[in-house]
Amino acid sequence: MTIAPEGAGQPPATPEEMEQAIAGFCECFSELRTEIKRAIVGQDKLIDDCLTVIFSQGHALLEGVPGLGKTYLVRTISEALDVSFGRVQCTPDLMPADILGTQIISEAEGGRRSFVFQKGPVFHSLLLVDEINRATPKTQAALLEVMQEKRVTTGGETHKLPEPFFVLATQNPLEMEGTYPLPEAQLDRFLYKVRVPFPSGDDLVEISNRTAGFNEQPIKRVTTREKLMEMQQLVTQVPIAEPLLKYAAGIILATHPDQDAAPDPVKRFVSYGASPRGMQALIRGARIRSVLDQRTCVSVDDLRSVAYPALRHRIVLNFDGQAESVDTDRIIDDIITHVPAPAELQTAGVA
Amino acid sequence: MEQQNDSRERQPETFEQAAAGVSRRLLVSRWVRGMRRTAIPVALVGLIAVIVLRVMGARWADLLIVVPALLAWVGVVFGMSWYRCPTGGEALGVWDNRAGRGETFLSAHWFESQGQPTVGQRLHIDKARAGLAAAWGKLRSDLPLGFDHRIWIAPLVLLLFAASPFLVSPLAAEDKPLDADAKAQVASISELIAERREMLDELRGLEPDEQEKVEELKEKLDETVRKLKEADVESRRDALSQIESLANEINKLAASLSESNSEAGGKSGMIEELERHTDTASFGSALRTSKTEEKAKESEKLAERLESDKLTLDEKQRLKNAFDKAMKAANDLDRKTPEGKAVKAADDQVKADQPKQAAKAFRKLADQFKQQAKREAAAKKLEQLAQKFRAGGQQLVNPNQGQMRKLAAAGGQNNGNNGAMRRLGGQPLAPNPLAGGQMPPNGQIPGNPGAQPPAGGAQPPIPGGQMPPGGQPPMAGGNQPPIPGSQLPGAGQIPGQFPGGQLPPMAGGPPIPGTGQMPGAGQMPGAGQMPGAGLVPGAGAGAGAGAGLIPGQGAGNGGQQAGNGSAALGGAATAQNRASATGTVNAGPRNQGASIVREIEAAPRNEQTARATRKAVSDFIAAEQAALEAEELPLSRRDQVREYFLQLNQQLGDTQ
Repeated sequence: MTIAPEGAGQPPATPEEMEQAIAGFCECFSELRTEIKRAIVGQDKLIDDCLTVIFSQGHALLEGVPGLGKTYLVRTISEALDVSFGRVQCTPDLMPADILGTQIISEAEGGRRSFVFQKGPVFHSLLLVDEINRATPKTQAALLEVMQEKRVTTGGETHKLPEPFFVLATQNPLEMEGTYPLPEAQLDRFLYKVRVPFPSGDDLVEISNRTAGFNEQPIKRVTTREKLMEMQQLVTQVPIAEPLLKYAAGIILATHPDQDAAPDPVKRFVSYGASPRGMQALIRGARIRSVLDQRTCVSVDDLRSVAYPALRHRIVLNFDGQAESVDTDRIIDDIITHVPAPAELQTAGVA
Repeated sequence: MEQQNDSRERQPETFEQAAAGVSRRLLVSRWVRGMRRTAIPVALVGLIAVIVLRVMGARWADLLIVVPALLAWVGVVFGMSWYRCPTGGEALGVWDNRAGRGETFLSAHWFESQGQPTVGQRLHIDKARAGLAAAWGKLRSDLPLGFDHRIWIAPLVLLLFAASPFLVSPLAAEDKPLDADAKAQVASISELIAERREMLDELRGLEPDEQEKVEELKEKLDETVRKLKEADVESRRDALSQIESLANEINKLAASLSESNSEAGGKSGMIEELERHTDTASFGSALRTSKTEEKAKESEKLAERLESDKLTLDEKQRLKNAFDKAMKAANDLDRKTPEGKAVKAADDQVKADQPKQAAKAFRKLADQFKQQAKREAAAKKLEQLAQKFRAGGQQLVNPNQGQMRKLAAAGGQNNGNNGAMRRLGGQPLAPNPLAGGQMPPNGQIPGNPGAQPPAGGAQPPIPGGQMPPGGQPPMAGGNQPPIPGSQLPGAGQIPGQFPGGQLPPMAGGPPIPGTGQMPGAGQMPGAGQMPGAGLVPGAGAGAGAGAGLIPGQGAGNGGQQAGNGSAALGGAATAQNRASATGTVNAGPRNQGASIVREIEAAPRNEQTARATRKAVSDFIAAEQAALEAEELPLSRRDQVREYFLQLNQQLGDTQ
């Protein structure tokens, strides 16, 4: 039985309520997308993926060169969602206490001094961790508990983070000097790794037009915190049949080079595949996609479409893969081609 | 038809029912698709198989084979389709995929199978059911059967070809149904067989169980006669089969009679001992032979002698001694034979001074031998009977056999053709049951002039003519024996048909040196053929005559040397030179050591020992002289020794 989090409404009890909730979800998602696009030019896929991560109660790692509007996107999302926004600009000298918070001595009115926990920037619903790979491993590790457990333990006290809570981190793939690549354990905690593409020519013109007056477009609040959490609960109600779960499991297994189901490129270029979190990411992302597609259950196409952002950071290349600069998306392509869908084997024999 | 099938498919109420319907549809679709893909290859393979079988002479390559084969094809394709056909949710998944619905029905089927579906699952099932009714109507277009005309046209072509008489070999003469003449012939042979029935009554010396077998044989003979007489057979081959079956039964009985006749082994110590003694030598010799009547006769003689009142004491003593030694020399096998038992009994009785009792043992032995002789005679009669039946049966399939034999014999008397013909192919001549030709009285073999004679194992050249090139020219028919009087394929011409006694060049055969076909090569004498070894110039001829073009040859009755000249058909050819042999020449009285000599007939012989004695002596003297030279001798003595050796060497030199 699913227990609704604090602040979230009751899940739909009848199919009719569920249908209405799904319609409301689609409407809300569409409104959010429209509102964000008022500020962000192009990047439709990026916006959808970020919203998907937020509605899936996950975290996203945005990878792109500087100046593509990653930070602005996150800030716009926070404004549209009407949730508190916190930002951490990572540098090598950034300490865990700088982001988590620290105990400071506070003097009461009576002159009595005591340690008081001063909350860090993580105590916001939407946390932007800018250039996360510039933080030291120690600081990166401090985010582990935050992202997974959604709480902070310091000075013997545990502080719960506000709900909803999601981290949108960015990293620059070009400037690798003085950076600390995220360890696999850290990467695995991101639901999606979203690549921020460079805008097209038309988009660049549009960006120029919009920013000519140096005035940012005001973002309208589309939803509330409570409604957001309700929709997050709704997504978990979207059913998925066992044959499709088996298909998703097949995709995950195929990312591991030691499995028989793995295609040749995986065996050649991959040293380690996706974890069970990868399968959770697949399912959660596919649920959102199916709802956005006005369907009431997950399909194979949903799983396939979310496989790239959900798995690309979970596939660890071996030396050969790194030496040949193999793109993990190409590996995922091979996996999707290789793993047969529930009906594909049978379809092959039908005219 | 497809519409009718679809109309029969009820509108499914649940996804389980829908899955079953879709699964059936997929099964049929796969079946049709499999047949469509394999129809042309299967028809082509079947067509080729029928053509090949018919070309090879198989008359049974018709609908009886093709129809079951096609049914098997349909069945196999169906079986494979059924084996690989998706069931349940998988079938719905295929349908979803074809209709572009994602996995809507597949998921609904799975959700429906759950005991308590969740709210989300219930919503999906409801929505999917609402769409199922509309989708069911499109099932035919979503999953078309893919029927194609090639599915029935290709097999139909095969069936039509199988039904047509194209390339079907004609029915053999002996397999044709009996006509009036054949029935009359079968009836006449049945009479011949019936006449031989009396031979079964003449069998003597049979045991009761063997007599029963004879009676059974008679019944079978009567049955066979009845069938043949009433023409209760389908063809000549069938009649021949009946007769052959009867002959086989007779042979079996004859074999059983022969098996029961025991004979003493050749390595018998007892018989050897009996042969050493004057009084029992003839008895022993008779035992050694296979002549049963002789054995009986000698046994009786010995019995008469033993029971004679004129038997002297000396004779009795000699017999006693002979029997005693014979039994001592007898081995276990000897003691178990009837003659061994008789000799043992006689030995005991003679030792007991009862020669008349000993005679009884030999009387009994004589009776046994007489009985055995009768059985052997019966077995022989049975074998003759079987042979006669077979000969009669052969007349059914080759009615001209008798005539041909006569003609062949006549040809052999005239010019020796028969003898040569018998050697053709290296196999004994046998009548060709299918041949109906006759040999012309002039001995000319009708055939394709210049064609090659039939190939066989060791094939002698055709006398008077020219040896066909190649030794064993290839010929259709393989080792089929030639048929006298009938059409002999490639028999060519007998002597005198071509000027100079040559046959025209034969197609397909390479020119062989010495055969006259290669310019200049025909001058080599003795270029005949060695049986089984191909043409070896100068090596001489095998059984036949050579074929060189030396003037004066080719007309004589064989030459002085093998390989030269020619012999008339059937005439004796010059004997073949013997192959080389090796032997051992023992050293003479004055020579040392044996030597090996290789003996080649008609070649100079050089026989010598390995080392002459005088050479050995010379070597010995030289060694002795050298030894004495090293001795310190007085001068006068030394001169004497030198003179001695000088004389010896001179003497040896003179003798050499």
